[in-house]
Amino acid sequence: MKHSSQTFNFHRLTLFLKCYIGENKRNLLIFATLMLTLPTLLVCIGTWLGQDVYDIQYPSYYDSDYDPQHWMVAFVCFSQAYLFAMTAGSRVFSALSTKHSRLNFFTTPASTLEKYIALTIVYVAGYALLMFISVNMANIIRVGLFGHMSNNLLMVPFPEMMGRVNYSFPYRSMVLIWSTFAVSISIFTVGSVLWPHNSFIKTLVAIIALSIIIGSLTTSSIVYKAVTLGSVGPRFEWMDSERAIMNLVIIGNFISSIACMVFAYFRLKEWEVISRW
Amino acid sequence: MIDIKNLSFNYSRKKALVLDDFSLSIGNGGVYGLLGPNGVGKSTLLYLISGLLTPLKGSCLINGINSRLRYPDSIRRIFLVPEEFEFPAISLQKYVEIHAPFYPDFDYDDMKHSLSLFGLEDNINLGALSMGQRKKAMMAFALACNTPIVLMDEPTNGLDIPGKAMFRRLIAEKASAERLFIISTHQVRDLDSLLDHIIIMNQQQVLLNASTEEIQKRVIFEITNDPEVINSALHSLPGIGGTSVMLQNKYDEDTRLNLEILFDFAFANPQKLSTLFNNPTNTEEL
Repeated sequence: MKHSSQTFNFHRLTLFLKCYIGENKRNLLIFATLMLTLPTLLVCIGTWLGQDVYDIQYPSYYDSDYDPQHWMVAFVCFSQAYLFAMTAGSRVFSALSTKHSRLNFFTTPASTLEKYIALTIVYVAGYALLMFISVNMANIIRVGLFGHMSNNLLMVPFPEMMGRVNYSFPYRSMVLIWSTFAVSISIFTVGSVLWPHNSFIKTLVAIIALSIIIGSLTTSSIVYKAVTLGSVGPRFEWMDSERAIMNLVIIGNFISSIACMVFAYFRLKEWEVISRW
Repeated sequence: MIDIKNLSFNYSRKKALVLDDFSLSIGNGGVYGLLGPNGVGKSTLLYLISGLLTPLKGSCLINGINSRLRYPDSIRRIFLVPEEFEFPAISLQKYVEIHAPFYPDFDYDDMKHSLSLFGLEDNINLGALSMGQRKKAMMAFALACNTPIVLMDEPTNGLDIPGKAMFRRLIAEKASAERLFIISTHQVRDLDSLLDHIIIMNQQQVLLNASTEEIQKRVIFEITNDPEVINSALHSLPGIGGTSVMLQNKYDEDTRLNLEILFDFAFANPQKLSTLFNNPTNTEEL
């Protein structure tokens, strides 16, 4: 046996990446097309349906650089980004969904780490790149098609579309939102490795079920403490700061995302050609 | 080359063991036939050798390395042709372009030669093939990869008669002392002239692991209607045109191997089989 690393080799990674993309080109193209066109379509439909806001009867209500459909565009792009994050995550390990595809996947001579990195590049990095292109494209096409309707129909800045919701902490709030994208995609990646078949639905159901359980437990705990103790628990002064809470949530989200992705890798290592779960 | 030690495996804790403390050693080259009744674990054994399943206990070592570790260099040395599989909906040329680089010894001309024997072109669309055609394309690719170990699970299932003949020809061309073929099959008549080593297994043990040369040294096979011969045979199977019998080879005769009767004898009389091959001098009790 040659002495090249059995855990990671860049050449093998590129071979596997080429192999995976070559075999799944059709499905990847369909997914990429949806990602690129759906936000544009929805933004354009929303602009056309809400064109009344640009009626010249109401110009005094608006500043010259304010687009009254600003929040519609931001909401559509934002919500599409979440939807596609979840979908991309749920497709990471779609190669494990049938026995035939697992046979092909596991008999390809690359290490588990190389296969994992390749799939992450396709679905996670690929998602991030396509989403960036997609929301900018939606913005540009919207202005290109409907810009004649009003001088107030303007480009919505990228940070506004993708998370600058808090003007006290504009960039911190954007990082917070991006950390929630990371959590979304990583949770659905875990779902994909646990349930490769119908992964999106199963993961969503699991999240809803867990949310109900955790929410119920938390709520009952708080109510119990409030009723029996007269307070809901100790007060941490440092948590009075909005910035502190945001930082805590950002760090927690990124740590959770990393933990999910690491778990997904080790679960992938345990997978067999015949699922015994 | 392949060393299986005390392998146990089941698909579910609630179900019985498919393999139970199973051990087997296979050498470096040749064409091995892996025979056994339905459900005995032949396909499971091939998957375990390929590292595609995790045993409950025991190990499968290929050249000293545990196959379950799934090292790329180990996977590269084995090509598994499963009984059922699917190709992606791409052309064979594209398939070769993306898969062949994993196998440094891949020979495109070799594959073209195999395809031409099977009556296929190299520009076929893999997604549009029938089951038999898929098998042929997969076998052509597998043989062209020139991996030291080739595992085949029921390779002749779905092949037409000319396809079976071409398959035998290709295996005969490719077989060597440095290349190992393990063929799991029920279709013994398709392959009996091809095999040079026979493994008959049940869940717990290998009933027979011997070369065809060794088998033919110990036993001969005939078709007869003579009641005396039938009564004195180790085993007999009635058939059209006469009764197939298996007799001890007392006079160093050379007859054609009859795997059907050998297989039947292995399960009907495993003790006698063991005595015949492990204690050939102690044949009085036979």
